[in-house]
Amino acid sequence: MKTLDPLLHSQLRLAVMSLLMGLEEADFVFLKEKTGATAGNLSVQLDKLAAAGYIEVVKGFAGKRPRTLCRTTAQGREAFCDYVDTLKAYLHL
Amino acid sequence: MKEKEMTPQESMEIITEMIQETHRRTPTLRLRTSVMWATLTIVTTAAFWASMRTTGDLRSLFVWLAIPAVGLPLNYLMVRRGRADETARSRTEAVIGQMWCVIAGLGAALAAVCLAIHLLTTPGVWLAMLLYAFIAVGAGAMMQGLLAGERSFVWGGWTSMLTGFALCGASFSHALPKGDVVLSLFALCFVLMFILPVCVVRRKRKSQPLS
Repeated sequence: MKTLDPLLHSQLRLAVMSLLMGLEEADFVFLKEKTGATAGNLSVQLDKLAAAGYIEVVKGFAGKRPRTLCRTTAQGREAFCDYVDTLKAYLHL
Repeated sequence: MKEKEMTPQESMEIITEMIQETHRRTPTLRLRTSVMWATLTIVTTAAFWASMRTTGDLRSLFVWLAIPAVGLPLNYLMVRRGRADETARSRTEAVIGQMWCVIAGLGAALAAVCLAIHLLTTPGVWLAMLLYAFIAVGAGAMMQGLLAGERSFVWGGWTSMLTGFALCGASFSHALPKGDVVLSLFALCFVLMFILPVCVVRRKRKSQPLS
């Protein structure tokens, strides 16, 4: 049986990827609110996902406020789908 | 959310919960822009009717240019402001936005063709723009409703499309109703396609619990 992707097999990173899979894009504030993570921890996990090429992080401004937007990449979506398929195999679904 | 060893079951639960969360809290429709375009179209229709009634001058046709001239900059400002305020954007909203861009683009191309024909031959060609608005905008409203799961937009869109096809048939049979009737139907369709459904959606959102 395939092993679960260790990068996605983490509570916070999986939650972030799941949120982004359902959206076109989301900003840091949204992800922090939905996951209940601290800003520091979320920032670290987003960096890991971005370094792996699973998400794209775009830093900009909304008016005068800094804003960090995140969206999945094609590689990230493929990795997520593989992860879900492997999960289904584990759960015999 | 603290890091801990997860079972496959727990992983699946996290995925399910987060995806449900995106559906729950992310609006898929820009209601204000729908109201803006519908109001602008209805007001322009009334202005055109009033101008034709008082002057009878075919240059009144240029009143219709108010729709893109006012609507496009307003739309840009409203969308830009909306994006600055929102923290997430759904895929459905992105698809709906792209769909309206295509409809607007095709409308602009048709308007250019109609203008060329008007200048060369007859102003009667502008009926094609009106029929395009009935049918294409109606189709857009219907698709918007289907994508966002809002039936009120679907019904409004269907009504406009059926009206457009009926008027098409009537024009081919040289049995087109009087201009007053056609313009009234046009304004009514925009109320049914956008104003009424927006009221329905807003009432639904108010009654939904904030969990």
